[in-house]
Amino acid sequence: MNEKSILKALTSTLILAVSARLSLHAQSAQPYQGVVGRTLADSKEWWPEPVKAPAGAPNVVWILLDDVGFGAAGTFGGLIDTPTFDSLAKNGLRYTNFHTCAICAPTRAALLTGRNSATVHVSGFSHTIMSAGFPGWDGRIPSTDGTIAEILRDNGYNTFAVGKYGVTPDEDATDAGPFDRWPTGKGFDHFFGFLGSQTDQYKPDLVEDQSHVRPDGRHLSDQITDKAIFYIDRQKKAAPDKPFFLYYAPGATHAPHQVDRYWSDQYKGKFDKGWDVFREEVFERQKELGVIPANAVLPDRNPDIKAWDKLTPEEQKLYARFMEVYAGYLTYTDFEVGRLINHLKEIGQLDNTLVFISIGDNGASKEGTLNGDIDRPLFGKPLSEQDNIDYNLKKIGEIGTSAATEGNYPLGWAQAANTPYKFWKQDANSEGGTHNPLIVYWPKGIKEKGGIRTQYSHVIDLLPTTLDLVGIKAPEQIRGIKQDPIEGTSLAYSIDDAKAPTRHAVQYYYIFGSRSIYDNGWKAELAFPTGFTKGRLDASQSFDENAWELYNLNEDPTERIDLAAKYPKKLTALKAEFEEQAQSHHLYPYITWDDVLNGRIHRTPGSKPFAEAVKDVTKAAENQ
Amino acid sequence: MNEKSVLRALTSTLIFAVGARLSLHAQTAQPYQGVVGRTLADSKEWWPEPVKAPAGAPNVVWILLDDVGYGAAGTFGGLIQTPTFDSLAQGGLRYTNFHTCAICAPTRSALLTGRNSASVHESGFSHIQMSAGFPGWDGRVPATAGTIAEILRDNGYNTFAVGKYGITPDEEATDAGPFDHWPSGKGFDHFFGFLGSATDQYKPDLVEDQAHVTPDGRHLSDQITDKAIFYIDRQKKAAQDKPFFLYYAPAATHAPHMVDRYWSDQYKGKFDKGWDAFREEVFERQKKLGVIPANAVLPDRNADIKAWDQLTPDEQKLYARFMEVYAGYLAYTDFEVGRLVNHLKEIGQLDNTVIFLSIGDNGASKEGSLEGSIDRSIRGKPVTEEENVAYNLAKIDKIGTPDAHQGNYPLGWAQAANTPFRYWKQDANSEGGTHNPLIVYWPKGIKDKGGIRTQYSHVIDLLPTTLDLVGIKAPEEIRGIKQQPIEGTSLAYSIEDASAPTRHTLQYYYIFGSRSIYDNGWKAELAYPNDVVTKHVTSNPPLDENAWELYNLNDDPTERIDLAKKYPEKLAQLKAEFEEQAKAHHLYPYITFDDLYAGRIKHTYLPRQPLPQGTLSNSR
Repeated sequence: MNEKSILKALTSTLILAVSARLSLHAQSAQPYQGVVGRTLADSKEWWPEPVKAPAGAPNVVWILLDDVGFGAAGTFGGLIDTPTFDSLAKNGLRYTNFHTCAICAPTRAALLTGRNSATVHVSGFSHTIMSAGFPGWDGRIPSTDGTIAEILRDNGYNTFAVGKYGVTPDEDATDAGPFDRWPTGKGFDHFFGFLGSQTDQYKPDLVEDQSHVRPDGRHLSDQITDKAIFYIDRQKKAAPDKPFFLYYAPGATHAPHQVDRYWSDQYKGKFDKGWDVFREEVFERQKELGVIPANAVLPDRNPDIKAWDKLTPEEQKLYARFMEVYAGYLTYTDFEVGRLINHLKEIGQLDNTLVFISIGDNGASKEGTLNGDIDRPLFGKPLSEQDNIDYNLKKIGEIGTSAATEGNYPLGWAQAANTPYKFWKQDANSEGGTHNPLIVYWPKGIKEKGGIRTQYSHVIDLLPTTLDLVGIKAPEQIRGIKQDPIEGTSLAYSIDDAKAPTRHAVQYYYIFGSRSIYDNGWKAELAFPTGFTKGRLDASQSFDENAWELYNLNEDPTERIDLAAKYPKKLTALKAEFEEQAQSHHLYPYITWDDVLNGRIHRTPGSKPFAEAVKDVTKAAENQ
Repeated sequence: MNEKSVLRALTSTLIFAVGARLSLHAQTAQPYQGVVGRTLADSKEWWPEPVKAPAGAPNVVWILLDDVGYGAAGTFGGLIQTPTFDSLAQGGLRYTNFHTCAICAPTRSALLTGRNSASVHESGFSHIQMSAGFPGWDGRVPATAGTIAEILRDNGYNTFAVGKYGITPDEEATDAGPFDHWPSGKGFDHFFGFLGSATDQYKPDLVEDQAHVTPDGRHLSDQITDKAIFYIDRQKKAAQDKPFFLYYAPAATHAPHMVDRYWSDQYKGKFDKGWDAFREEVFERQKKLGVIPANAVLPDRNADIKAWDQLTPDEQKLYARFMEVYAGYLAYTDFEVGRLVNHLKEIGQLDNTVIFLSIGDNGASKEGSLEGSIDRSIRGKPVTEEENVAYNLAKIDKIGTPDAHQGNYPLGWAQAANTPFRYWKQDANSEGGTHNPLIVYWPKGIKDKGGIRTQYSHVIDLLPTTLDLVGIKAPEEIRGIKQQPIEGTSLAYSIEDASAPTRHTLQYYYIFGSRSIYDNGWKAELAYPNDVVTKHVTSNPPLDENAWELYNLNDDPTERIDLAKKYPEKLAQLKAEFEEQAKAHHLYPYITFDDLYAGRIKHTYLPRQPLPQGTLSNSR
């Protein structure tokens, strides 16, 4: 053997030896293709292709508002001005048959992963008191269900999240971590916002990246918009051609409703006509705009909600003020979104930015009780209705201010904000809990400006839709971890085809007892009675598991006519299908509000008493 | 089937179905052990045990200084005062036969992963011009070689790094990332420092976590100490009983030598006797302290280094000032380490903190040229020796100041700082490049306070040693990624046993041409001619691959007597062993400084760039 052939033999052995170990070298596995000799002269370098987004890939912005009903924003017929949303809708598409999971954490977990909330362990919350030691319920999104941020990050995007995160376990939410389930552990390069479900807007429980930071006293929405703009500018300076993904999830308009008077005063007197007139007016506008089906009929008021003209003048005055503040809060939120959009325009990025806005992560909230709430905690000691009214009237000047630490409007207004649907947030049985407006905007990529799309869709669809539009395949593995299948259905088929038949045909819903199943226009549903409407959470009510209702949404989109007695077989079939869905997504056991409020779940050694743990849900900043 | 049995059947099906998918649920895989029924009443919750460090696990602090020779710090016989190191050594152990990789990035990657630098792709650097598209050379530490931070984080520690990181690829070191090779991507909860190899101490190229931040004008060592203390205090407030791991890696005392006059002025006149006297004095002290073998003999001056008394008075004045500044810089570094250690004492954590302090990541630097450097890059246009002396003399007052952005001492002092060893940083062949002091301190865990350990050891040993002392097994997988074996040898066996036989018996070294292999006291070595000493770095003389030398370190710890001719078979055997080690660790190809400076390394996806001035040092 001469020297050269020795070298050759050596070289090939080495190549064999290294080819396997290089497979994990780059983010995307590329087998080593160089030649390794003994000296550089005998060798040939090889570098993997750097990870890059597809050519021309757009920036992606996901905007998720909190606790906004279908009929609140003007863009979908509501009486609250949302000029930014209007402009996005006029130049994009409105999806009018879009759904969420009926409560925050399940919606957010499902949105971020493109999978049903039970599949990703968040049937409940990541809060101690609302999670349980079962696969569908432990509140810990597993690494087998990678988020949109992980996928985009590994495909050449920078990834930012600002605002509410809501799916970090309470136990992990200290400066000592662990950080796996903070946004930074779930694919976000940067995060600025709060980890819990609700926070004070002026003293938020604020976090940046992997530690708590001191809020600066401005409104949180102001701060997160500035931060989002800062992240984007910094990124564009460092890598002008690299696209970014931004998840913009303001605390708004979840309780506490806190907003500068500048915004709420613009609505002075605007709601004096009351919630019944509001509903009718909104319903008409929705028909005109075409954002509800032509055959829709406005349902009666929900039980428990009084007619506006039966209220005392004092009640009317109090409740109208609550709604002025809420309206100001939503308009202000639109303004902050506008700042973000305008900035993208100013820096020349808007044309190639794909924006999804989900106006609400569930329906309007029923957590404000019948009489509204200013500063009394959600899980606080209940007052009688009259005491509550008196208490609130005394503090009417504080509604919307920083003192209104639990500010939330009364249920009559929440119902009106859900027009044309029945019931509220938490009610997984009802469209009032799950039906939210969606806008998709992308100047460069959407031809039909101002179009309306009626295909049935769900929050789990946004991840596959985004990947489709951007041109990225859902990965089978993320950093060595095999992934569960994506459960959402891409809406890409409908972007250029208003008439395309719906592809998302089956969907289950379940929130602490209330449940439903949608199957090709049919919907079977079971309500779960709670004391939320009365602010008496301690009072458990009897639950009849046989009280299922049946609706045909094609003919009756607002769920007015229960067909359970008429089509018992259809109901039976749907009930069976619900059980199947529950099993296949690991939704069992059916944990209810009753179980939660009686402290029957997550009692582990060393866990905080219920009354203490409850505070983690609505944490404000410490050390103010 | 009645309702109950239906439920039971259903339940068992479900349990079966979920068993597998929960294995990735927690950081440590624990199979699901609950019972899932249809309602809560039919079910039994199960939560995995929260990940926790072993009971009583100590905090861990790794301190790694930069470019400090074996004979600099007073604690190992040097003439520079390091009272903090003295006190740690008096309360802990001194390892006197400890080794690094002879240059920054290989040492740091080997340290953090417990594996040889070639095994973790870091035979060179992560800088564009010093990495190449080969498995041992691409400068990207792979996920299969998890760091100490990843391991400790997944075992219940918080993890912090401050100071120099040095192994983030240049291409990735912008605010747009990717961040996988930033400290935060390698297991550190928090990082504050710089990603490159050298930086201005007052205008550092500063990063916190995953973004650049504006430095505040104070000395970097001051800032990183404050930040380390802040991280620790915040963590202890949030989780009193959770231990932390801190990797404290000041830029000091790498160039630029910058330090407040308060520190350098304390050494005024102290080095007027020159480097020859310094070497002799240090050598005697080392013998007395027992930090070098009794049979060690001080080698002659390295070739190229003039005798101190042959220098002109101007040269003596200039060079002495360089050393005053260096000494002040090292003493100041000791002071900053002292602030950290004192803080741990004040908050009651010191007793149960294991501290590893490696005084240097390689030997003293030869990058300051024969005449020292103030603000001229080593890669700048070469000037004659005389011109260089005149230039530096004119700026003598700038030495050590913020203007001295290339501040480095002359080679005569670097050699002296390497006493008793020959040669310098970069010289993987020589003990002067690779032999560094190590202190291990742990009040609660070490009985022999002030003891000396002579077992052969290497920077890759610190990871397994730490895991052993803390009581954690090296993981086979980290977050689903199968891990390469740890290559270091735990030193735990020697902590309580001064006379335990050495277990780390074989070690290769290679830096851009220079190389050596250590095997049970024997060492074969090949120098790589590199005119960095005389500044003509672009015109290296050719390498004679047959110029291997052979030493018996047991008899001749300072490598004075070349036995190559006397024991040719031993040499041949060691040379063959070196080739085997090179192959086994993916060190091939043997990339040399010549390849580097001739621009033979290319990144396939980047246009070839000339090696710019100051490529290794960024500041803003």
